[in-house]
Amino acid sequence: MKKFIASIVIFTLIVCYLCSCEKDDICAEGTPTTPSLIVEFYNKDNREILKTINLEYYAEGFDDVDTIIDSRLELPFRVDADNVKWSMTYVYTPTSGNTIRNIDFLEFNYERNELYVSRACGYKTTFALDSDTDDDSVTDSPEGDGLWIEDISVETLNIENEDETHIKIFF
Amino acid sequence: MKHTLKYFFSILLLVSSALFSQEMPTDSIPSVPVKSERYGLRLGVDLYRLSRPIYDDNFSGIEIVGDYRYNKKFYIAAEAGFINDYTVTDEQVNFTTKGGYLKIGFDYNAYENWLEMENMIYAGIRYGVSTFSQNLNSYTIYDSSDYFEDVTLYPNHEYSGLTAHWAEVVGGIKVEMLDNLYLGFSVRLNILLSEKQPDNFANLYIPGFNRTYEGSFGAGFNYTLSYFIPLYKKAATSGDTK
Repeated sequence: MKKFIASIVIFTLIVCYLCSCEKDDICAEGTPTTPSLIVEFYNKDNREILKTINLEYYAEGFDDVDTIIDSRLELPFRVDADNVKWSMTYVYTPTSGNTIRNIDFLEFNYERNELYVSRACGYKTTFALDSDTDDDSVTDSPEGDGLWIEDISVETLNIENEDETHIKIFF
Repeated sequence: MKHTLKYFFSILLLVSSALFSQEMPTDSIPSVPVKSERYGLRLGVDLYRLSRPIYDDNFSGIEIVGDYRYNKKFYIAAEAGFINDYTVTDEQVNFTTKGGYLKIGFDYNAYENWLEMENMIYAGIRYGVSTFSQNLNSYTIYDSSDYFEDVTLYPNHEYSGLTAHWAEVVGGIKVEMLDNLYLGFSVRLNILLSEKQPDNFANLYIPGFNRTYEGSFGAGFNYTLSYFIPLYKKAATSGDTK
C-alpha cells in the first residue's frame, strides 16, 4: 500500500516534470525561420576573391540605416509585400582625396510562401525571386553618380534558408 | 483461568474477523453477519472544467466522468467531454479549438478499505479519442532579422475534421464525503498515438489530451464530484481478496 502511494506520488512528479520542462515556448536559435537574402561581395577583377566592403544600406520607405564592414550581408525581405528596394551606399576613400559615397539601388520582386514552423516560432516566409532578377535589378541613384556595382550573379532564385549564398555582387 | 482464556480468545476472534473480514472466510464464523460490498455506477462532473469559464474567458467546456464497479478491485471507467471553445494566445499564434472526446479504460483500486468504507486510491489506463477543429485566428511571421516590423496576419481559417488518438496512464483518489457523494482527483500522463494534422498548422491543443508538446507526451488532471448509484450487493468473498 505504501509502495502504491509512493508510486502515485512519483507518477505525479513525473507528470509535472514533463509539463514544465519541455521548453517549447522559446523559438530556439538556429531554428530555420524566415531567411534573409545572403549576399556576398567579390572583387570584380578577380571574381573568386571575396572583398570586404564598407556599406550603408536601408530599405526604401524605411528610416533605419544599417552599416557593415564585411564581405557578407544579410538583406531581409518584406514579408508583407512582394517587392523590396534596398539603397546600397558604398563608402570608400581613394588613396588621394575625400571619402566618396556612391549610392546604387537593388530591387527585388518575389513570391512569398508562408510555412508553419512551431508553436514558439510561429510561421516563416520563404521567397522565390522573379526569374528576371539580374543586372537590371541594379539601378543608379537619382544623383547619377554612376554604378559602383559592376554586376550581380543570382546563385539561386529560391530563398528558403540562410545556408547558401543567394546573390554575389562584384564591384 | 480456563474460562477467561476462552472468553478472551472468542473476543479476539470476533474483533479480528470484523477488522480483517476481507481476508478471512466469513462462512467459518456464522455468528458474524456476512460482509457485503456495493456494486454500481458512479457518475460525476469535472469541477475544474466546469468552473474554469468563471475566471477564464477563453475556455468553455465540460467533462462528464463515470465508472462501473466490475469486481472487487477493477472498475470500468470513462470520461466524455466537450470543449465548446478554447482560445490559446501564444507569442506567435492565436487559435481556437473546438471538439469532443471520449476516454475508456479501467481503474484498479489499490486501497484496502475498512468496514463499510468505499474510498479509492487507484491507478488506471485509458484509450482516448477526439474529433475537433482548429480555427487559426492569427499568426506572426518569425523573422530573426529585426529590420522590418513583425508582421501579424489574421487569416481566421478553420481546419475541421481533425482527429487524435492517445493512451493515458491515470493515478488518482476518490473519497466518499457524504453518503454516495465522492470527491475525486486524478492526474494523467498522455501519450499521443496518432493525429490528423491540419495542413500547414499543428494541433497545439487537443480536446481531452490538452496542450501538446514537441514530443508525443502530454498531461492532464481533473477534479471530480460524483454520485454513486448502488445497483446490487455482493458478498465480499475470500476469492476477491489479494
